[in-house]
Amino acid sequence: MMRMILPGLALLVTAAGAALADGVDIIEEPGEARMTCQYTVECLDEEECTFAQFGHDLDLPKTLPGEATMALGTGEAKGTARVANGVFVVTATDQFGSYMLTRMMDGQARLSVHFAEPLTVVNYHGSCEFTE
Amino acid sequence: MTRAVLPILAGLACLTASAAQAQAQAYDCLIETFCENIDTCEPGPNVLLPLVRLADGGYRLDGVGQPISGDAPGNFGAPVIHFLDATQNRLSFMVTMDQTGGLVVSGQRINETGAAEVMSAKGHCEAAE
Repeated sequence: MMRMILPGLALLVTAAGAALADGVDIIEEPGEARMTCQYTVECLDEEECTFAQFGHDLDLPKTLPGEATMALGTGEAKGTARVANGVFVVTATDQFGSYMLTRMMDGQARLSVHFAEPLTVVNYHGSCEFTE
Repeated sequence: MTRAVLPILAGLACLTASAAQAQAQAYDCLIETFCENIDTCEPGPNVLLPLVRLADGGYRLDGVGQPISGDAPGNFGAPVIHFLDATQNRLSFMVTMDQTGGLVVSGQRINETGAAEVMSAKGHCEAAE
């Protein structure tokens, strides 16, 4: 199921210039920021990891912590963006599952997705960049 | 395999349900498989994770920071719990338990060398006596 759903999630790219001081903790530009994430490796449950082409946008709050929205192909997942343990972390849920994203200062990102029926975990490896 | 997580899981297993609250329900969750980064998954370390449903409907995974959201009503009827670990392990956790007691746990962190790590585990929970 996951392999059918997740590749279908939106691959949206926007451009512009937002910035985070220290990469994580302060959004310098007033107004919301947007981040675009792209993943190239997908690990589904206990199966061997495979190549993936999956991405999504992420709307971020003016200040952290604050509300964040992941724009997925299946709709929006709403949650919270914050700095935890020195890294940027977003947690979100929608009617399909729950999501946790960690982004490092250099852009490396990891996304974990949980589905309950059937109980499934998917981890994505990729990168996220601030785009506006 | 479990370079980062085995010690963490073992540490968690040693923790007791220290803040047992009125009407709280504790679960013992046995990890059956464990996956780290893009490595081949391996059988779980067979440690118990103490997961507690609190009287207010929220959840707590003992010894793992503070829950940053409780269950998610309407989200396939399963509790979905996000934890941010404030301990030295510096992990962010996401936990989902389905209505049959099935459990998935994901952990993410930046390791000592600055690399991004992701781990996941699957198992089952039973109500603790």
